[in-house]
Amino acid sequence: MRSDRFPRGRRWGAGAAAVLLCLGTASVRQAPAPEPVSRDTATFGLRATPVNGLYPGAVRRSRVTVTNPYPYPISVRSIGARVDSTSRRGCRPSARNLRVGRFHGRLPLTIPARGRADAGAFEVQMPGSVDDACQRATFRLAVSGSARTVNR
Amino acid sequence: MKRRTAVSLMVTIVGGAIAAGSGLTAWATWAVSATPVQGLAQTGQLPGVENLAVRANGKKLTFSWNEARFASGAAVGGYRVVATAGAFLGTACEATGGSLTCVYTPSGRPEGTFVVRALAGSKWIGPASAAVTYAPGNENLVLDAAVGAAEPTSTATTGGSKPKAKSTPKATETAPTTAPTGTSPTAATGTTPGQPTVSPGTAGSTPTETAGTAGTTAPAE
Repeated sequence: MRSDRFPRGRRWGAGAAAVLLCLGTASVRQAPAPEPVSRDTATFGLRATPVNGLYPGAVRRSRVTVTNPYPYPISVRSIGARVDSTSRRGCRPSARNLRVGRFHGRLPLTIPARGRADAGAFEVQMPGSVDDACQRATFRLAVSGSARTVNR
Repeated sequence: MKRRTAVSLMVTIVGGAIAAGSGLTAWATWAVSATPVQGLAQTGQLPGVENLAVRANGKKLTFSWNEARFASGAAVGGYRVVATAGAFLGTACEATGGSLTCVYTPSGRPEGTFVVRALAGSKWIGPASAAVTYAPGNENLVLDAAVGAAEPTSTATTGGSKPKAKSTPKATETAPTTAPTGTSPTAATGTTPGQPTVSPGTAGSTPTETAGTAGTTAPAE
């Protein structure tokens, strides 16, 4: 009885399909881990141009350059900055003294392998409420970004 | 039987195609973050203001000065004239919108030592200028008690009627007859007695030579 429900041809076909599926699954390759880079090679790098001559009401732009040290392209997804610290006591790194606006650039941006590109800029604005202690001060900005590898 | 065989073959073919294609579609990507970097934003500083001058018109004092700009060339937001010695201490008048003059109408006698400071935003204030002193009784007499820069700023009363800081006397010579001593030296709270402040050597006017200095060093607001 049982053999009638599963004729030989069907069994052979199902078996062959199962074998092929198993082989296919085994052939799925994970994307390799990032290829090793030397210790001297920087990781995905960002550089922001300094901003000078700020005064109450001034608006400046800091341009951002992205460097890709990897031997494959990456896609930069986001870039941002925030006020981190100042060089003068009494001048707090707050939005009342300095504001960083949103990033102006075309993202995502693909950077070729071991390449470099101008990613755009973010605005730096000094409000009128900035403290007097912030004259002749240096604000330090923390610039960060994220990217993903590009499918190969 | 043939039908079943055909179905089995179809399943085998489809399964094989899937297995063959899976190797091309199973790639994964990974995220990378940037090494945090530091950006720098540097602020400027308000400049000093030059050539403060004062003229009297009745009981009003009109101040004028040169325009000041940031090192970047941007204009400052305004100016503030401060009385640093005399019967009144504090803000005498302010100018905004690019104006380079302002008028002070004191409640009492128009006199005192004044400096001007540049302004920006709501809190930035620049260094005090060289001081200028006005002595009552010398209407239209512009006295420039600038420290280290004793050139009178106005030529309107040239001709000897513009004594310089630390220099004497022409003002002194005329002042005593017209300069009431209503304000005693101590009441002045600064160092400016009722005598003309640019007249060293005049009795009771000991600090006058330093009025400019005091003015420039003690603009406490």
